[in-house]
Amino acid sequence: MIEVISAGLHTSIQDLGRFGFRHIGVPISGAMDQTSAQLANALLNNNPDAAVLEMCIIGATLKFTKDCYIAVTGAQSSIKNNSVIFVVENTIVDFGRIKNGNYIYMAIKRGINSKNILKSRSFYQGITPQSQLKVGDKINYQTIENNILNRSTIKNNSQLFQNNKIAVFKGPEFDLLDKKIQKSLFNQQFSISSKSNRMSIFLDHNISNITANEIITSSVQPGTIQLTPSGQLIVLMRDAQTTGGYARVLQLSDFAINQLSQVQIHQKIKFALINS
Amino acid sequence: MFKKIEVFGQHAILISWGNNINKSTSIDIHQFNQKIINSHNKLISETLVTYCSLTVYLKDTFHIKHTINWLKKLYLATKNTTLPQSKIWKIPVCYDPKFGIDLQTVASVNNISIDDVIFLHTQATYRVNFIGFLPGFPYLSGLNPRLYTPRRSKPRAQIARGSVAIGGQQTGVYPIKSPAGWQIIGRTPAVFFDSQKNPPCSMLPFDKLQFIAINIDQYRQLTDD
Repeated sequence: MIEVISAGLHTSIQDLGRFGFRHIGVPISGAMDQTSAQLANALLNNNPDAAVLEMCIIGATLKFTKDCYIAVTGAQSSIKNNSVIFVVENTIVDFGRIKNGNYIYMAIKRGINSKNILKSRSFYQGITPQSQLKVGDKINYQTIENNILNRSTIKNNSQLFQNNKIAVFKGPEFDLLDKKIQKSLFNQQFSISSKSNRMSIFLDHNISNITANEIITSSVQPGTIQLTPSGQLIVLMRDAQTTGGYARVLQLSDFAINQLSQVQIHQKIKFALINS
Repeated sequence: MFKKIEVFGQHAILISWGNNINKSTSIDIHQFNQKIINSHNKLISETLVTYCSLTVYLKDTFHIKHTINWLKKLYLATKNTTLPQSKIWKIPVCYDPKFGIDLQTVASVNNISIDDVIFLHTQATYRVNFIGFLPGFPYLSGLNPRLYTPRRSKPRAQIARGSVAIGGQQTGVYPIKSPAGWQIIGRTPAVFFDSQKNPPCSMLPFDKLQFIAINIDQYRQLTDD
């Protein structure tokens, strides 16, 4: 098993998400950057929904008590990215500071064996006992039988870490916006506020007089961008609530959610409208 | 009849009934929702009902236009669907000021006494419209207009699980501890959401709910069990 020697800033177990319970208010959760999480599992020939460790900004230090194979993807850490790594028993691995992005993903051959709650291993406060790992936690994985011969490094999607063209669709309330506000959503830059987390990313901007009326509570999803009456732009992410009363002005594409998750605090982005 | 059916991102179809919250709209939405559930369409991950909308979430991005056509045909199919039997939930609430930290605010804003607040809150029979916002959080209609109170200008970072609250024209119960902008008027020992149970939340749209006042000793007995 893996023993947590130090927990980093926010390390959690995530898979592709918890589906089937949104009608009773349960968010999907799951890996913030699913492009990278899926790549880590693919490198190890795991099931796509195998659970991985997600680490944010400061990586964890982990002790592996048995031989295993891991793969690390996402932003840069102290550990080599995008290839299969054999870890011998009793090795302590320090993932260190995470750079050029926010999240890294560590997959392990056959996946993490934590408890499935409501059909998913993804951590979420109020559903799973913990929302993040702490020092002393022990995580189970299966011991390996075969040697993996693949030692090549593969490339992650090169678009993942660029910020200039975050693809969006018009949201359900886009057409209710003033035409000037509609234009400004595409010709302005937005920066990521430090208030951001797995539930929502707050966008800082300099647009004056930007506003939208509240709506009768309706559905929202990861990638929904809300505009509040006071002009706040909020991008809902994986742990976001299932319903909301603010105008839904834009909706990120699936890939754009993964891109945005890796944009660091105070960095700037620009949206590009997809005509569907 | 729904007003609009549109693509909502790459995974979802949003069906809208306009902006009026009323019973016939609710019935229409729930009938349609039940038809979709009964069809067991393997492309659909889940559906979500709110006051005036129904969202259909798909498992993949490929079949979205195909599913819109399928939904339109399904809606027009004339077979009547039986909705699940609705239940009446009686929820014990302790309105002691120790738990009801905003009772005085609600009373003052409405120019009534705290006893009046408790009376009006427990007198009504509420309808469950849908569950959302948090796991197990019921959106209830039927709050007496004399209890309408604006949300707090600054939300609290965390309130206790079971907190009973009023926000604007709505009332509800926080099933888990959470940040909250609503006015807290009491606490219930009733469990609205338990991730260890199947299903984790038994409350369904169209169920009815009543709040029953209990005192602090009764509250303690119920929580020690």
